[in-house]
Amino acid sequence: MTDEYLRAVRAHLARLPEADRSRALSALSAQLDELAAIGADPVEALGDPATYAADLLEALAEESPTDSAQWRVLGLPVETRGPVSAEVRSRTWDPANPSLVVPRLFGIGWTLNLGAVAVRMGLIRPDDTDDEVLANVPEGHLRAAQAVPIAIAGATAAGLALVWRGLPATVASGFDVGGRSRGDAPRSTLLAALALGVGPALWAQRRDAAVEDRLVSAASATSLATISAGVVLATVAEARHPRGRWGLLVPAALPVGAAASLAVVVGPLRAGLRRAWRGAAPETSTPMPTTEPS
Amino acid sequence: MPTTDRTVQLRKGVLELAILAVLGREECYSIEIIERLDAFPALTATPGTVYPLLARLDKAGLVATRWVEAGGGPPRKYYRLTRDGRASLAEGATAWAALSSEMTEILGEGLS
Repeated sequence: MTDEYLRAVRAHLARLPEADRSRALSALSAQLDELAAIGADPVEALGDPATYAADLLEALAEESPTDSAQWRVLGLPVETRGPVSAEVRSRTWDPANPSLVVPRLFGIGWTLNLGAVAVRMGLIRPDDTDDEVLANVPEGHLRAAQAVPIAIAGATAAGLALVWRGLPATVASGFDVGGRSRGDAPRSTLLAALALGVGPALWAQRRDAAVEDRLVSAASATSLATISAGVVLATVAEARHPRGRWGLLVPAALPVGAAASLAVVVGPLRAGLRRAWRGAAPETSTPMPTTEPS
Repeated sequence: MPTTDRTVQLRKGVLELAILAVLGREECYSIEIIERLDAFPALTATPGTVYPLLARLDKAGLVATRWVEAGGGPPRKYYRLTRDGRASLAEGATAWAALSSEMTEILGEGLS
């Protein structure tokens, strides 16, 4: 009975981060053991497993904000849910969260909270973005934002196609901190670097997603497309003019990518804000009642 | 009165109720809400705490917003209670009164 109850609750907790789930189940297991010791029926004592799990999810939701990583390994945040969860992706655009860095959307480490950057730069206020503003973002601006990563990735692909035949069979496999080549790899590895930009750029073209997710996805894809362009450019330049410090183009691409992705989100949002502000009440207008009439 | 770690921990659960109470008195924009809370040292909260709470109250339908022109700057977002927000404030106030009274009693017994 105890194991059955525990299994039933576990089945309803799949969306909880592993650490929270295991902590909750461990506590429940101890509680079930106590109930078993006095011969109590868990369903009678705790309610049915689905309701119990729903209560747990609600209680733990507060303790699992979207800016918390799925796991932590040696103190480093580890995340895998970014590609499938809009809620997790939204941590890279969270103006209400003052933290400049948040756990990455996929992999180990941290990434920028573009929302906090925009607030620090005075581009928006922490509570400017709401459903009304998002609804006011013009569709043309949204499509233009989604076109940015595809344009960068497309330009990178076109540039690579133009120089492909002139490239040697092997290219730099990577660069050291000084920007010099670390070794050789087949030139086909350039296609993997290209895919790093093209894949997310294509994925960010979805038009059926929510407005905020379309912008956030386009911003992430813009950042990746810019880094991909930096890697491809550095590798091609190294192949054509060896012994330079071309690898420095890769770290140089990071701030460019961050600035471009910031523009991809903030531009359309400010357009939405301007439209929302058109309906602003005059400053001297009668204050609204503190409670809505209906 | 200094804001101790213990105060910070206790405050976590009641800050949302305090914001509803501020908005129960008058419609405010976010900085005003933070200033109103600042008048009560134990309830002083940073924007990083208040903004996510406001977003949550908005999503839960407990507050409504509107833009109001501000002389010399961009329009400000004003928050006010919805009917559900007013009900939540009343419910929270009742719960707080009961909790506060019972805590005072049990603490009094513990300290005596």
